[in-house]
Amino acid sequence: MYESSVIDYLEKLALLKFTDEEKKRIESEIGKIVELFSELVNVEGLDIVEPLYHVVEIELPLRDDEPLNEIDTNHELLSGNAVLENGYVKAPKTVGE
Amino acid sequence: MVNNVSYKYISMPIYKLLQEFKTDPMKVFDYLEHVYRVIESVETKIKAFITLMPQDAVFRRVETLIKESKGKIDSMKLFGIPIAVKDVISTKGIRTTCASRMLENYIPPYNATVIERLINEGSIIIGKTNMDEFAMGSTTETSAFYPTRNPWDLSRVPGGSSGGSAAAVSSGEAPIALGSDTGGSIRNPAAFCGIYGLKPTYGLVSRYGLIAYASSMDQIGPMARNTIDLAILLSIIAGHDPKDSTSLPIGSKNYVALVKELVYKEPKLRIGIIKELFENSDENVKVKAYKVVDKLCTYHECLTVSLPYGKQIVAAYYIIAMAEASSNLARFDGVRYGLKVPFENKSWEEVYLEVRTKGFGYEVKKRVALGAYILSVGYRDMYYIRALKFRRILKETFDKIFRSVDVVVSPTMPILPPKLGEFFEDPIKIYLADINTVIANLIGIPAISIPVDFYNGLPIAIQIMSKQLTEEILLYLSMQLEEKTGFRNIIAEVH
Amino acid sequence: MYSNPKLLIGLEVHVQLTKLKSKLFCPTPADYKKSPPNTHVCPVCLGLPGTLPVVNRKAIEYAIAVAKALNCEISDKLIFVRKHYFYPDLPKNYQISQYIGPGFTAIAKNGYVKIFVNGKTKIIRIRRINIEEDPGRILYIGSIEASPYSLIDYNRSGITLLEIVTEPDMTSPKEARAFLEKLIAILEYLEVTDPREEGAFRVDVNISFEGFGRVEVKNIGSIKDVEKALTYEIIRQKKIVEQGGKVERETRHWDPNKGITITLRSKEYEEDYRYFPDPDLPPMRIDKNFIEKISSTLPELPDDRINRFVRQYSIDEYRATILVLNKWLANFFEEAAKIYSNYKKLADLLITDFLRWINEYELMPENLKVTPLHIVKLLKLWDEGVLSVKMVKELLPRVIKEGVDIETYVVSSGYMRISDREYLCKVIEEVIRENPKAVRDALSNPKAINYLVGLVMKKTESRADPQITREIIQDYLNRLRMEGS
Ligand SMILES: [Zn+2]
Repeated sequence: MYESSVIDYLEKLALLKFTDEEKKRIESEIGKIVELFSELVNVEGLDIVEPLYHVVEIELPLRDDEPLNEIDTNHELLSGNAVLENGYVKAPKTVGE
Repeated sequence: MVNNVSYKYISMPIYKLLQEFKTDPMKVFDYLEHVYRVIESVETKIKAFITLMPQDAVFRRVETLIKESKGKIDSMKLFGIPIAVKDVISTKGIRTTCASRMLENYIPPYNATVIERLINEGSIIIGKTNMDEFAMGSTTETSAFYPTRNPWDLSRVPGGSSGGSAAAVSSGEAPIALGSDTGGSIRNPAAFCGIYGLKPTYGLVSRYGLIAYASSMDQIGPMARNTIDLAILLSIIAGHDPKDSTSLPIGSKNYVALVKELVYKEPKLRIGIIKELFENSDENVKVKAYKVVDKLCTYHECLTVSLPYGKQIVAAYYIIAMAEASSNLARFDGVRYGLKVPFENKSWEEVYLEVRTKGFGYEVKKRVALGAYILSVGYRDMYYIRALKFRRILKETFDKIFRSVDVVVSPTMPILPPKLGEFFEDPIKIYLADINTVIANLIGIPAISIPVDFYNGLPIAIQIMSKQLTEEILLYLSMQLEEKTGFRNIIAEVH
Repeated sequence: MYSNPKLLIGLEVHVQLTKLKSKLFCPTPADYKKSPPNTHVCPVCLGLPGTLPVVNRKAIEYAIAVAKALNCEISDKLIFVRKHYFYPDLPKNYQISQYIGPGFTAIAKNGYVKIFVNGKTKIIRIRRINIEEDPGRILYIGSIEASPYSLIDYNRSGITLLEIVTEPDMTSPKEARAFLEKLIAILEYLEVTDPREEGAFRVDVNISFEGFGRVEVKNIGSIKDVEKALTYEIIRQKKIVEQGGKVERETRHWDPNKGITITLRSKEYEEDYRYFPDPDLPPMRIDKNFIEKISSTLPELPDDRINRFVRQYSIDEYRATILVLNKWLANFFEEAAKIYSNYKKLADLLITDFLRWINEYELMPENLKVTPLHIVKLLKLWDEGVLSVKMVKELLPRVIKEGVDIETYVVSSGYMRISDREYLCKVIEEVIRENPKAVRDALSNPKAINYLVGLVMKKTESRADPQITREIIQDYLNRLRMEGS
């Protein structure tokens, strides 16, 4: 079992909730996962190397500042999946912060 | 065996089908007719697809293709060839769900670069295949819709996360398929379903349109029933894409020609046998895999190499994957696309929370939440940075290994395909089963899974890895083994 | 004790690089401001699943030019990070940005800007410059509070922003203003942005009294509002401090309509943005040649131009600064100075009345009717005594607004000083005939002549040359005296 306060913290970070059943499951798993992660503590020479972020050596390619000729006048990109109102995407309100 | 189906036809490699289709384009319909008969017969048992294109729609698409391609057919590399596409790759106008409630109704308004390339070569998408939700899993059981079954044994998993693609190919529902591989997601199901699968060098195939799981490790790759088909598909999807900043600035190669040339010249290679990865495998797997290695060693020079890391590899992989996943999956909030909940008069935080709670399954929530934790101040150094440092050590370890050998070999999976639900109680056990495959993703090298044998009717496969951008070497060895084992164009009999 | 604690002001300025034709990470056209909502979008800037960013080269070049102009150290590596926070205007729920931390850095840091306030030059240090993408824009139905949902326009999403962060080196709203004016001038000279475009620059201010909690006021849209918000905060915080209270560490919002700041959220702990290098964007080496190439094409910048003005035109730093910080005004000045050599007089007219009328009429520099030649002609007529100071001030608005040619106008309208003696004699004769008493007074009291001059001025609507008028009247009075004696 893992402390439920940790689960609350995880939920807050990821902006989601576990169901009660899922909570039980993660509480029993999280300890084992953290234990697995802790395998890295004892790797020899870890402190003296730099983190490897990108596995292939490639320079960031840059693009010329050339705009596309067309714009999405008819909202083809959004109309299938978003709720539109006068061309705006409807979203929950953001007041009160 | 399905009635009214010519298995000779269904099991035909695509390079032969292509010849037939190019001589007589009408044969495309004929072939598809057989494919759909297979699908009709086995799909209810296997559940390889999330979205299956209706036969009449596919026929109409072929009609248009024939009309539009007049005079160009000969130059098209996949003319009329049906393909199954993992449901993590964006297809314009075709629902793309990632096997998640979150994207159950999401219809991408654009095509992934690989899809554009397939369409340009005359390939026909027949459906989007099942997978672990957002590719997080190795059994296709985390799909929000239903699990896919292993065509060789319906009580077992097909592997994952590209389990639908592998099952479709091995059962004859499609001759070839696209999968994606972040930690073995192509090779694992290819091994469990007895087909060929290749994870290319990181950056060889464009990720544009691939819904990201762990961006620094994700690669799209080919799945097929023989080496040449695998090479054909790779030749089409590989090569620089200006829409992907991690795409290597090199063109594609004609892998078929390269393989044929290598097979003809038959160079002797130095093959490294990763002792620990054999020893850690189930006995049955180990024995069979060693037998195959012996076949390779009769011609090539084999030597044992040692890998001084075990669980650390899996730990590093999951830390990096979860961290990146937490970031990549932040965008799913139901506003622009994805799961909708009523939101009037609710605060955005309430709504986002509800969308993400209802839209994600357990495994996804777990990885996203742990990933956020791993990146948060106070834990980042302990987990994330350490994992990245280990990644460099692992890369250097293999750089060194590849100075003494050309390729390294191991079983693809240390276990036989498990029963559905077998690992439910112990997620660590299934994570640890990824140890052989995650190496290639952590360090960006190519890896192939080659089916070699059966044990009790279940396929066994070996994995070969090589230096970055030497896919042709892997295909050459695959071809050699294919000749030796005769494991080619085999279709599972679904009972 | 706390009656005079030191005031510390730091600024975080977000500037859109409006001169770019496409967005930062996608080729969507960047000129979205007059377009209907959600038309300047593509899969990338909508954050659709599977999309990937590709960096606009020009954006990097502009950022380096700005970094050079702000005297910054430029990083030898270009690295983008993901900054995570959930908010409905942010399509990916992370912003591709830059930061200084383990494994990543900003494109530039440790620079400075010189400002000129109260006759003194002061250095404001720049902490760092980031390149980042702008989020979309949220709108509300009716009032913010009553709105049951919000509406989002993603046209702005992905527009290139520079975030320029200063050290807390400013000690008054006036200095903050001077800094922003200077910064905007620099950006304008570099031609990377049009600061007058709506929403092109937004400022977050940090303000604290030394030893007290730091308050951040977010998202202020104009220099004027920055000054007002700071003034408001100073008074608010001073009051708390003087009453022995504690200024809470918090983020506040500036309400430009009410002219007050309001609490947005308290900052008990630092927000955790979970920065990490964006795996979709490998790093780029910024080599010396790349920087050199950009540096070599930089235009003359405000500091250099101010120095040159002081040298070349012998005007003081104060005047030079005002001129130069208005790029078009400085250009106007230099055009005029080619054909008019009393530079100080020219500068004075431009930075006072001229500028006042331009602002009064809300004229746009790019479509002004008035040319340097117009102003020079006005000054020359003034120098020649054809126009009086009063006339110049009266005529200036028309010259500015309508671009009237002053020479033609003065002749055709008869609007010039009357120095024609024959004509003036006629007028004076009339005045003398009509005012015999005044003439008598003037004969006995020399000072009373002014009254007669005034009457002439009145009759000629102030156009009579007062000098000549006085001479003629004096002559007449002298003749009368001689006749009478
Ligand atoms: Zn865009």
